[in-house]
Amino acid sequence: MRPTRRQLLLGGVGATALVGLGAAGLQLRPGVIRAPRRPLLALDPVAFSVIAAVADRVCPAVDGLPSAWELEVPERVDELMSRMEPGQATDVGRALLLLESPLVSVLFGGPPTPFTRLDGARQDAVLASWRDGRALRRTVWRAATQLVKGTYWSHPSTWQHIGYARPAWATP
Amino acid sequence: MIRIGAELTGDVDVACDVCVIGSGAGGGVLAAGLVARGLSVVILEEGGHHTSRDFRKADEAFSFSMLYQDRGTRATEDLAITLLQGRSVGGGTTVNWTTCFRTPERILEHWRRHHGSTLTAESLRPHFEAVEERLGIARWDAVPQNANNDALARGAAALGWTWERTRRNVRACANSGYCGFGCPFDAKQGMLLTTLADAVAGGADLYADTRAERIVVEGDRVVRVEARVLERERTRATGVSVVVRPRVVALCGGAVNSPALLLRSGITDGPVGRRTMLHPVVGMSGRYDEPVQGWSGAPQSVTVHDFVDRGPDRVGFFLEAAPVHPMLAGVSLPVVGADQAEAMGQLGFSSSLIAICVDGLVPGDEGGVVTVKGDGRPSVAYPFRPELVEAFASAHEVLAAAHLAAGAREVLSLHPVPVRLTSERDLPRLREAAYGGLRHGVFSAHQMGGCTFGPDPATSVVDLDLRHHRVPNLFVVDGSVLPTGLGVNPSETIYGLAHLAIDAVASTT
Repeated sequence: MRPTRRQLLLGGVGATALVGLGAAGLQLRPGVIRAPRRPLLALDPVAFSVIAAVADRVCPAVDGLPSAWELEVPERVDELMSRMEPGQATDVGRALLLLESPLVSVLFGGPPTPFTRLDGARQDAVLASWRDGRALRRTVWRAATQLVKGTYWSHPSTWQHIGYARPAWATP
Repeated sequence: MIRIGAELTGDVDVACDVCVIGSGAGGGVLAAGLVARGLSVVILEEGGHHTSRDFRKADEAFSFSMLYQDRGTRATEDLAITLLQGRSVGGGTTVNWTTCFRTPERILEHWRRHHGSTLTAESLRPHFEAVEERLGIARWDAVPQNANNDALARGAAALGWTWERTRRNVRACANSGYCGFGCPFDAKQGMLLTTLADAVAGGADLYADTRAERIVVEGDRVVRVEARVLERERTRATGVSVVVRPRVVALCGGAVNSPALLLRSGITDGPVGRRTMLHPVVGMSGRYDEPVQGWSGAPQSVTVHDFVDRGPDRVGFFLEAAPVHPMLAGVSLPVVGADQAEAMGQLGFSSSLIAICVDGLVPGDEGGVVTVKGDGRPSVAYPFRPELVEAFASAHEVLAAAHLAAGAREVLSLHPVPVRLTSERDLPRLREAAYGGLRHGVFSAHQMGGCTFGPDPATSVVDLDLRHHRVPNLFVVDGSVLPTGLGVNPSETIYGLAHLAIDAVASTT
């Protein structure tokens, strides 16, 4: 069977080149590293920082909702990744590296700046371009945003906004 | 006896009559039947053993992390389709929404015509009757449908469609709406409480947290199954191995995992991994003036099948409702930022209706393909054929029409930039939207195929007795044997086929 496009991107021969390009780009122009509040279990500091930046934009503190950072969403994504197969965490890390890399960004017509160095409005624009881009970028967008959203909305501190509550019969 | 991983501190090497790999719909029914015949049975389950004591946490993050494949993140390789698939003792039956149907005659006829099947409604009848009795499968008339399902019923009635109440495998259901977390009240009659309990009471040994890594064949016979014990909290091997030396192996890991195990084991005869069907699901959210709170009440109590047969060259679909608790809703709604906050704020007033597309019936539709990665993980590639994309578009219009007829004040698609409709006049706008992979949310809760049955070894993996074509003491007894989508929720079909397989497996020992 022919490899899928995502396999070529994240797991095949093409992956080595593209991820290598992404890593080289970050060597030339590193992004902003966010300090986790507890030791990382699965993600590397770059992937953690990208998740944190994505979480800020995807789950902002609006309408009385807490921020993703306040709910420790990046650390909780890291914890979730640590429970998965090691290869899954590697795949996610590669996807986040591609989103962060200035060289990959330029390759796709974006700014020559690491994602984590952009201001909020430009991060929103980059995320929208990956969301609306060709299948490869949409896959990366989905990986990054779904991990964040699932983690954010599973937190009880978001439920008042929804009108949802843990049922009376639930045990701690 | 149920042995959990944390208690397994030394290597195990055990002989038995039958090794059942997987404890879901197929493995549970089969194991109970074999034990009832007096056979010694060892069941291997990679997931953990959880009970209603765990489920009463009502914690969505816990449930997805512990009870679903890949900690709730399983998806096709390009992430276009989210795959909800169970992973614990009881498999998918621990977390499914309890909706049961017998295999439709239309599908049985298709299998006879195109896949060499001999199955008929009459030949399956005693098997369905047996599992319906054991699992308490009956039409759910106990209470009125919840507002989420009632939207589908109202919309269907207003549009002249036929809707009906579903049948469910429950007893004394508390109508809580938490089926997908594992039943907190022991009302769901999944394998955990029924057939697995029967099997263990009858002497079966069930090893939880134990993943079958390889089925070892020498000559044309399986001689052993090699398994590793996993840490429950982290998917890592503890270093403890379990080796089972059975007379017969019944592979019951479900679609995706069963073909993957055959491939890892080098048992690659026939189209292993091919014809993987996903019943791809699209949905639309309807916002109502009155509270819906679709997370409360029996998840699926209404179904509409008016669109399941749209002709031989078109992909059909059937309609149901989906219960969306916050985490699943957050993942399912493709919007982000302030738009997401707004949408989630409306969740309690939103009904989520879904269209489940029936794959594998249109000529040339071969479904997806399961392969294994270098580290042994399964990978699912699923193409979006034009017929399926057309069905997605049509389903969106049907779902929107149902919502509007039911009184929704606004209907939103699951596109990253949703199509919004407030009246029937807006329906044509749905045709301007893009459909297909990564264009909008697509989900699958029904995985089938990959080890399909049939009489021809060139086009199937197991024969009509579910016995492997080349390895006579190897059976596959789960949803992976189904050659097409079903047009109904598949659990009862798997229960029935597993019950049917008991004789063949038992007689091979």
